[in-house]
Order: sequence, then structure tokens, then C-alpha cells
Amino acid sequence: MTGRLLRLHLRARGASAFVAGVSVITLLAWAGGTWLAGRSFLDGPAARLPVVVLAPLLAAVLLGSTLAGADEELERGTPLRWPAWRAGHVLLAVFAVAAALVLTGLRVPETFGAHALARNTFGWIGLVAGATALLGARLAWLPAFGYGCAVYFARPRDTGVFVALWAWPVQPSAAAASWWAASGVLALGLTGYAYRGSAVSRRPRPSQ
Amino acid sequence: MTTVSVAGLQVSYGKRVVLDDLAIELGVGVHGLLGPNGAGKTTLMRVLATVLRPDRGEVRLLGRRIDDRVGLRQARRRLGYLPQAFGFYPRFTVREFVEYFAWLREMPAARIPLAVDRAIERVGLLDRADDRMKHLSGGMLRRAGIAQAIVNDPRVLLLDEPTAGLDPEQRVEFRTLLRELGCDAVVLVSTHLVEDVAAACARVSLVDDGRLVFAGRPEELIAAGGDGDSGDSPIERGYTAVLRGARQVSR
Amino acid sequence: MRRALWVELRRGTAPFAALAMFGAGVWVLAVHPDDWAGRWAGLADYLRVSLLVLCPLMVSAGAWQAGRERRRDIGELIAATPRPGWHSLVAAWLAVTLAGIAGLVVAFGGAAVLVARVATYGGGDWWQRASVGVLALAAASAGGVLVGRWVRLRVVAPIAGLATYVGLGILTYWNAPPARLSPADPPGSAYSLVPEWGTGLQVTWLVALTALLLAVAVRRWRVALLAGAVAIAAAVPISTAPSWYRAPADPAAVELVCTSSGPQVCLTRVNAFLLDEVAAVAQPILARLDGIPGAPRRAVDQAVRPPGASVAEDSDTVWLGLDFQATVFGGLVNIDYLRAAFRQMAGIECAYSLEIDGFDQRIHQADNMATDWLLDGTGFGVGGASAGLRELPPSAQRAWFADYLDAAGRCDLPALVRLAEQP
Repeated sequence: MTGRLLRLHLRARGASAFVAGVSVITLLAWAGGTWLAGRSFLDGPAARLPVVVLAPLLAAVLLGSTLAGADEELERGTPLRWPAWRAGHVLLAVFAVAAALVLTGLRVPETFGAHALARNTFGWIGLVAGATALLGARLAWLPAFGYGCAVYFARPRDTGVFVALWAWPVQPSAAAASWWAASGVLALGLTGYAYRGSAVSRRPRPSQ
Repeated sequence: MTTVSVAGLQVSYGKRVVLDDLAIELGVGVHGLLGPNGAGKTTLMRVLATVLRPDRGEVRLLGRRIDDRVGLRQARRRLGYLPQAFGFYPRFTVREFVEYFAWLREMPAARIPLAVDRAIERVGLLDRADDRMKHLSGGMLRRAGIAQAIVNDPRVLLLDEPTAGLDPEQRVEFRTLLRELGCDAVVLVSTHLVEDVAAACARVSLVDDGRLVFAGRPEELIAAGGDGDSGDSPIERGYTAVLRGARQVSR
Repeated sequence: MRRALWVELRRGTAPFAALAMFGAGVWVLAVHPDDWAGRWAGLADYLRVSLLVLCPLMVSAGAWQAGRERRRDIGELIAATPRPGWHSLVAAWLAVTLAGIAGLVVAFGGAAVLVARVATYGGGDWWQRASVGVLALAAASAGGVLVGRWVRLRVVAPIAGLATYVGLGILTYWNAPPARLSPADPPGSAYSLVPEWGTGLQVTWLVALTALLLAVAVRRWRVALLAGAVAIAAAVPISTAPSWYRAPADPAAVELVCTSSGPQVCLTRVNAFLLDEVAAVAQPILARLDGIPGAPRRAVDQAVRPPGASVAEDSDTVWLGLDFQATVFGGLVNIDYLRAAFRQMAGIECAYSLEIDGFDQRIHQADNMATDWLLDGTGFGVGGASAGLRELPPSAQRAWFADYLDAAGRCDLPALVRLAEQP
């Protein structure tokens, strides 16, 4: 019964479109990473920073729209153990996205390779999940998108624990603090989303 | 005077024929459009609203065909439409929402402010005119929807389920408004609430399975019903009797 | 149109676009102030560089606005109205564009006040360069409107934004002529003049692109065809013409402004607001060299030399690089970086040019001593290298430095080794 419920849940949340989207992103990440690493005028595998930032971000943005059903209130009115389902939903997505993206960065996994891809998957998905709990699935992409653009543009030149904490998406994977930051964001976002679900606007809907 | 006429209308979604060789003539006054779910009421409304292009058939609004761009645009200026499920912009105020649609209906700019106030007043929302749409209740939203439909003083007014979500008192007021509007415009009201039809409509059309199965005055529909027909009011009994009769013929 | 525009400006995506662009503007200005401070052309070029993030934001705002009809399920209602579809779409696009640009103008206006306080050169083509950037924002929001109209995807706004980001990023990385079609490609340096035909073509290209995107969004194919033809007509010469990276310098911008007293320090007019600060660093150093045969007598802004040309050998002049050297209040960002211009490397250069095997560290040491002496005992990483030298009487110190310059000028390596072992 749970198996059938799981299938229906995934269908209701548009999982197939998400999987298709992540596949495209994975291909693009692989192609982009290979291209950047091969440019003679750039600094080799360390030039894959844009891929490391953007690919998990795109996947997380896509995930955002699967974090709420067609009618959140209708779902909340059911006795299902939603916190467990929500947490499972996000963790499954983290696992799937990280697994797919890590594969693209296995050649030279250091600095801006597989490790950083995994870390940023944690962070971005955590941010999107947290934003879903606060803003609703419709706008969940907004904070991650804004933060991603800002951090990537700033690309702080100095290093240090504080910088590694706030600019975790653009840190080389050796910076331990960036892992703490990304994991912390994931833990917070996951907890918030699991317990609160997608935020519901109190706006009345037109009758019918 | 006939101002809306439809002949040989056929509409299908894929293989499913929704309207089949339908013909209907509407003059000035309030018309009720009745019929079971899936009978094709909304599809007919959408064709008349020029939103849906029919596969076959001729549609004339205000005596003009609407096949060409010029005719279509002129017809749309004299048209008011409230769809069954209508969307709105939550951040707009009621006034802005109605004003925006006055603009979309190409009303002369000088006439817009007065027309907007009048439309909002007629649906009884004047005290909430500057509230954002997202702060309105369901019934108020529907009234705002009616206000945008009547803002341009349409000659053809199409209201799909306008009374859904209105409380009994509002429905009574709404029927009065309908009768007023029906004085100089074709008003077509699709509804499931047959009492609304009995109370407010001069004529009734009944659609079943894509065809027109009855057209006449409400009294004629009432007369069609007998004691053996199901229903709690005379007009409900007439409604079921006509439907049953139509289905027996088609079998 | 005015009525609809006004409603859209207040209730559409426009206020959010204005806020987002203001925030983004402040952010980009704050992260690298040394890129734009004190120079109008620097500020204009920085606007162009910032388009890398500003354009994606405008694309997202446009897509969000244009997707509203679908999100709000209002298409049915609008389809029954007589007004041609492009009216409401253009009103919506215009509202987002104007609001976004206004937000950005407020942010950059603040920066402009800071620039105006210190800038010493207001001429040149900086406002043309900035205008091209503003047009690019209009084109970006038109692109967003197109995508939002055509793509039925809930997250179309961020995805379109990120795709724009990637696209502009690729154009920036891509070292090919078509990359010049990207408005985020800065057109030159703060001292050069982009040829007028270049600016004209960029404007034509962006306006035609905007018209094309809007026309496709509202399915006006004939207009789209026309706009597309104009866009291609402008794009071809842009991507095939000679690069304007080597645009000629603006003669008025690179005119030298010199100190009136003390050893001569000259900066170009565009950098002249730094003259006092630079002179305070350079003049004491030049004063130490005064009268030493063969020593540099003046320090000159490197910007006076045409871009791309290597700095010619000139024993009289020390060239100062002042790009990225101004703070928003007109001070120097990094004095050490400026002092580095006085670093003495003649010995090592000789050693390399003679391709001798077994490089003698003492030659390096002679350079370090010379540098440290010149910088009065505060050489970078070599502080104190000249401690012994500076214990000698002043005239002997100067004689040592004259010998060093002489030996370096002749590339006399044994003499340099001897100098390193003195005193």
C-alpha cells in the first residue's frame, strides 16, 4: 500500500518532470565542467566554479515546485504522517541530485569538483526547503536565486572562517567551514519544511 | 430584436463532441441557461465570449459575424464576460481591477473613472473599492468579477455561474441587478440554481448533451413538469421532465 | 496606456523589480568599489560589467510579470476583451523595465554622487557607455517577458534568469568576436574613447533585439521579421569589426597633470584626483634619488601610454599603475601596490636576459638592497636588507646606489655581486 501511495505522491508532485530536469542539468554540468576544465586560458579544473554553483542551484529551484501539492491545506487535513513524508521527500531529492551531480565532477574531485557539488547540493536544497516553509513553494526559489547571484558575483577574494561561512557556495571544497554552513542550512531547512510544510497564504480563493 | 444568434454550432474537444448542431437566438432581456454538468453550457458561454473558436457554425453578436478581426474587436467592446472560474490579480485593489478591465475593453479614457465607480456601486462593493483583491471574501470576489463584466455597459453580458458563493441576501440583490441590466442588454446567465432562473429570467434555455432541448419562458418550463417528476419546486419538476423527455427522444 | 502603466507600476512586478535592482545595484557597487571610484568612465564600465547579474534579474522580473496571466488564471477573461494583446504586454514590460531601471539609477546615482565629489575628468563617452547598459536592461526584461509568455513552467522566472547568467558568463569567457554582442562586455578602459559607430551599432542592436523579443512574445510576426533583420544588420558588423579594446585613448583624459613643487609626479587627468596621495608616496622616494646619475627623476601615470603597449624602457621615468587604486573617497586603496612600482629588479632581469646558468643569489640580494634602500628600509619582504648600507654616511649610500644603477645598466654581474657584498 505504501508503495502505491509513494508512486501517487511522486506523480502528484511532478516527480517525472523533476527527474527529467535534473537529467538535463546533469548533462549540462558535465559538458560545462569538461569545457571549462579544458580551456587553456583558465586555471584548469578549478575553473569549474560556475558549474559548481549553478548546477545544484538549478536542481534545487526545480525541486522547489515539487515541495507542495495542488492544495496544501487539503493535504494537511489528512492523517498521513506528513513530517516524515516531507523529510523523506527532501532527503530522497538530496540523495538523487547529489548522486547525479557528483558523477559529473569525479575527474579531479577536489577544489571545485565532486565534493563541492555535493556540498552545494546540500546547501541549496536546504535553502529552498527552508524558503518553502517560510514563503510557500511558489516563491521558494527566490532566496536561493538571489543569494546565489549575490555570492557568485561577490566571490570574496579573502579567505577565512567567516567568509567561508557566508560564502559557502563559492568556497573550494577543502574549506571545512563551508561544509558546516551548507550542512547547517540543510538541517535547518529540512527541519523547518518537515514540520511546517509549504507555507499557505491566507488569501481566499475565488469560489468555484 | 435578436442580438445574439447562433446556428449550426459544433464544438468538439478531440473526439468528444461537446456542442452538436446547436442553434439559439437571444434578444434583449435576461436569459437563463440551464443544463446538467457537462451539457455544454460553459462551452457555449466561451464561444459567445469569443474565447473559443467553434469548429463549425455561425455566430452573430449584435448582428455582426465575428469571424474577421474588425468584427471581433467591435463585438468585444460591447461584451461583458464573467467566466466560471475567474482569476484576479491579488495585489490590485477592486477599483484598479475594474479599471484595468475597462482599459482592456477599450473604453474611452475620459469615461473610465465614472464607469468604474458606477459598476462597483452596482455590485455593492463601493465601501471596499480600495481594498486589495486578496483581502476580499469569496462572495465579494465574485461581485468584483461581476463589476468588471458590466463596467463597459455591455450590450451582451455573459455570466457563467455568477451566483455561486453569494449568500441568499446577495443573491436577491443580484437578481434585481440582473433585471436592471436586462432592460437594454442581452444577459445570458448560466446556472444550476433553477430558482434564480424562475425569479430573474424572462426566458430559459435548457442544454443537454450538447443540444438545445428547450427554449421558452420560465412559466412554460414550469408547465412542462407534472406531479410525478422529481424536484422540490415546480420549476425543478419542469426541468427534470424536459430533460427526461429529451433523453427518451434521443434514445 | 498611461492608466494601465500606472496600475502595473504600483501593483505588478514593478515595485519588486525596483527593489531587487536597487539592492543588487548597491551590492555590486559595494563589493568592488575600487573598480569604479573616482572615474565616470569607470562607473559606466562597472555598470556594464554588473549587467552579468543585473540582466538575469531583469529577465526574471520580466518572466514573472508575463507569467502572471497564467499563474492567476486570468487568460480567459482577457481573451474576451477587444484590446490588442500587445498593449497590455507592452504596458507590463514597460512598467517592469522602468521600475527596474529606476531602482538601479537610485543605487548608481548614489555612487555617482561619490564619484562627482572627487572626479577630475568629466568628459569622454561615459554616458554613452552607461546608456548602452540601460538599454541592455530593457532588452533583458523583454527577453523575460517573451519566456514568461511562452513557457508554461512554474519556475520559469529563476530558470530563465540563471540561463541568462550562464549565457552571459559564456560570452564573457569566450574569447571570440561575437562575444562583443554581450552588453556585459566592457567596451574599453577609463581612458579610451569607443568609436561612435561602435556605440551606435550597440544601441541599434539592443533596441532591435528588444523589439524582436517583444514582437515574438505577442506573435507580431511581421514586426518581428523587421526587427530581426535590423538586429542582424547591426550584429554582423559588431561581431566582425576590429575590436574596440584597442580604441584610441581619449586625449583629454590622458592629458598629464603634474605636481608644481618637489620631484615631478604626473598623473593623467582622469586619475588626477589621486595626485596628492600619490605625490605623498612618490615624492620622498624620488627625493632620495635626486642627483644620482641614471636614476629616475619622475613618476608618471602608466595610463598615459596607449593600452596594449608595453611600458617602454626609460630610465628617467617610473610608471605608476593606478587602475583599481582609488577608494570611494578619493584615497589610495593600497600604498604598497603603488610603492611596488619602485621595486628594483634590474639585476635579476640582467641575469635572465644573459641566460646564465647557476643564478647567483647575491645578484638578487643586490636588487633587494637597492629596493629596500629606496623605500627607506620598508621594502616588501626584504625589509632591513639595506640595514648595513644605511649605516654608511649619506653620500656613500648614494654612491652605492649610483654604482648599482651603473652596474645594472651595463649588466655587469660581477659588479652587482660585489655591490651585494658591500658594505
